[in-house]
Amino acid sequence: MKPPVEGWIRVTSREPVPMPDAAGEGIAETLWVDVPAWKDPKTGQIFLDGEASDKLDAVKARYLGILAPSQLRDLRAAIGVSQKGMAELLQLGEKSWTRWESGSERPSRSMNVLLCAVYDGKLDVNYLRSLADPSLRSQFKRWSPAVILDAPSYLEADNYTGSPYASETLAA
Amino acid sequence: MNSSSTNEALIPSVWRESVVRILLSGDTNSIIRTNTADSDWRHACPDAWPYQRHQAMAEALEQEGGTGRHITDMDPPCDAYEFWFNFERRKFLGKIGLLPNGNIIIIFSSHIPRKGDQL
Repeated sequence: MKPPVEGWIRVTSREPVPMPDAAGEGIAETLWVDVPAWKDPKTGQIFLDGEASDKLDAVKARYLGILAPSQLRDLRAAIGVSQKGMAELLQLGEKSWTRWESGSERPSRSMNVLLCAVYDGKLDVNYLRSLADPSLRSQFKRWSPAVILDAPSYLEADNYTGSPYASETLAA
Repeated sequence: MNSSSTNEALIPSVWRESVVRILLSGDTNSIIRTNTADSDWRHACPDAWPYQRHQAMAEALEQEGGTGRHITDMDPPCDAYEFWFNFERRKFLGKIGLLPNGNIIIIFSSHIPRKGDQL
């Protein structure tokens, strides 16, 4: 691989990936990840390129449970709509959805909650359609909250072990 | 990195346009960062993604009359400027170098101001 600057050499560098807390303002924990990097032999300075960036961002996305671009493409294919159709369903700009699918940008954590609910089959796509289309909205009357509070098995104490992505796994 | 600087001045539009184009291209291989600049950003904004830094930097550089400090004698050789940019109502110091080929930038700094930081 040709270095971006002549004389730089390829090395592996262990870099920190601070994970945000629930509020998104502080750091819950920091994972360390080995990434390919460039080193300037003259100064010893380490430089990161796109490959490193992709790896660091993927670790963070997995830790936060943010759907990967491939999962977003699978989700849209399962629903059977175009990128424009998906954007309309979620009531967002088409460019946003396109950028999420390409991986050039990421959905917010709150949007990701919604996407996960659809991806995991917990949220009816027709319900989303009704929210996006006023003519369908009367099918769902809001007299009172109708939340489901029964904990599914994957959240029961005996089964839940926290994040499936331990630091050791991510750093490997 | 051996470097020296001049006083704060208008950043040339040619430089700004080239850098903004690369920042917004989404081509992460054209945007090289020092690991310290990357770490500083990730610690300051743990909930944000690097592309948001690039958008914030581009937004600052797109402004007409944007000022910064020209940094000379950079290693590796590049045309570099230091400038302020904002992200989520916070002020950051950025330092970017444009390599001579005009197609790659190096982000040398992206951190919240430290004692003594000024343009």
